[in-house]
Amino acid sequence: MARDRSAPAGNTSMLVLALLKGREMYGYEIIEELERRSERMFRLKEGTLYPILHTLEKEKLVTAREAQTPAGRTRRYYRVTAAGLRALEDREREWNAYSRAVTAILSGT
Amino acid sequence: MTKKYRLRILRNLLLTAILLIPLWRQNGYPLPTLEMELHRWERQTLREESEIVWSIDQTGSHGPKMLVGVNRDSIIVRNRNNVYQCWPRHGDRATLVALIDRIRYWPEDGVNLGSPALLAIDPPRGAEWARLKLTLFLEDPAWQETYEMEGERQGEVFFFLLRQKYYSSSGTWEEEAVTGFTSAMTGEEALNRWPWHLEFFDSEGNLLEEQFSESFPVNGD
Amino acid sequence: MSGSYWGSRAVEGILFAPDREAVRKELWAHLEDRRAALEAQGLTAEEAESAAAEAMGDPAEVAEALAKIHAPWWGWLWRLSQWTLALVFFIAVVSLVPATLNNIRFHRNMNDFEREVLEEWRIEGGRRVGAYWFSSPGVRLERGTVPGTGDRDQLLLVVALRESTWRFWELSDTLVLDRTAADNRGRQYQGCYYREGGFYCLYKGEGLFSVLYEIEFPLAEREDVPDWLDIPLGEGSAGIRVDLERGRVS
Repeated sequence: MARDRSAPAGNTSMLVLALLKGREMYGYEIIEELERRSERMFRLKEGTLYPILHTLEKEKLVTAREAQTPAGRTRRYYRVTAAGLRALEDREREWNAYSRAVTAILSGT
Repeated sequence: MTKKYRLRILRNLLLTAILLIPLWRQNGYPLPTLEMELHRWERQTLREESEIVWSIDQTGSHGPKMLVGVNRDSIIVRNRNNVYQCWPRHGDRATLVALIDRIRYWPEDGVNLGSPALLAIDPPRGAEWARLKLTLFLEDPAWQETYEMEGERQGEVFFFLLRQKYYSSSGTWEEEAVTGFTSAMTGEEALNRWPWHLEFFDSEGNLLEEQFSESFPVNGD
Repeated sequence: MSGSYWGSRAVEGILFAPDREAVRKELWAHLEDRRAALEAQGLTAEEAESAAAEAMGDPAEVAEALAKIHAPWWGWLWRLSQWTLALVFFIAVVSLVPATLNNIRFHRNMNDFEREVLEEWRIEGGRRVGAYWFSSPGVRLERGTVPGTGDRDQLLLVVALRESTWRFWELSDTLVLDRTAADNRGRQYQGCYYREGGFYCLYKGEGLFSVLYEIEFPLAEREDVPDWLDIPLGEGSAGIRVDLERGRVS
């Protein structure tokens, strides 16, 4: 019921959670997937993803694990937790209620 | 991020605590307060737990830190350096206890002295003030001096401080007699080797109780 | 702006060094991925790197956000706990090693006398006295040397007594040697006497939660072994009975 504290990124963190619902991903993957699925509608500044991810991790809505690529790079893979799924459901409900209300007003009923 | 630190901090604290135990043991398991150590000594010697009736802490002025507790039949005195003494408690009358550590006091002319002190435990009810006369003596050379002390009521006991008359430098006979007194003070029988006379009075000056040491001269003085 | 510069600026606000480094590595991995993708699209190495940094956004903004999330307190607390542990460990080693070596030397001397075991009794059960639990691992009849004297060939009844408590900082020597022990035949044994009619205590060993005493009663002849012994404890009137006949403590 309470609004996400990081209000400007509030919606973005919902989107990130939704993306991670499918599978675990690392930061760069998340950016690419976001662009792909939204047909290039959402292009956020890539650096701003990480404060969102770390906040979600701190709030225990996602967990992370580290893995090495063959090239020797360390990647952090994020996946959503059960609490994260619940939070996502709440946010989806809120969003649906909001968008129904907007649609209703726009269509004049 | 914080979760991994929390666990590691906890683990480090646990290991630190475990490592501290042998160090604590090596120092004889010191406890935070003197009172706790006194009660522990009572448990270790299978004595009844006592109630603390008097204490003094002069460690700030290089004086002693002492504790006196009473239980049903004894008086426990904890002196400097962890020395515990057990005096029998009379109960039906007051018990006079001599302290082996010298108490610091500051006479009017400012010379800082350490003097022997005595306590009267279980004073009679209604006692407002008390007087103790104690004679210190030396056999060779023959020297004696009688000290008259007015008891100061501190809690449930009366406190007597023997103020030296000849300002102490370690050569005087008084100092030798005083040292002889405190160093011989192992218990009630030792105290009775010196003549003393203890009196308690109520607020009107009536004598409530009177006691003499066993070596008090029969012809009095 | 180069990628590594962007990375360093973005983590400036994270005060605890290990955390800062971890986040920087994550951001750098992302920058590298983006740079590789841009190079694959045809840009030069230099162009790809600055375009990647550009795509990340304003490093100062990111730095501010990351600083709020990664507060240094837990990290500093962890460092403190590490240093405290190291310090205590160092003190422990320095002060305990010489003490332990001395202890080992002492205990070896204790066993330097010869004894022959003639008979043994097992003792069951235990009793609480004051704050302690007392039990007996057993009683032995031995013949041999008495430590501290020149006596050889002395008959000795050796009673082992264990004192335990969970309060390991309160273990003590509660046997006082100047009280008297008694047996079923009304015989009195004076504590502290290294001869018949007395008993003495060889304080044997200390565990963390218990202390083991071995109390030795010199006897004249084998017939003098009693059915039970009342052993004094502490400085009051407490004591414990070791019953050889029934094999228990009461």
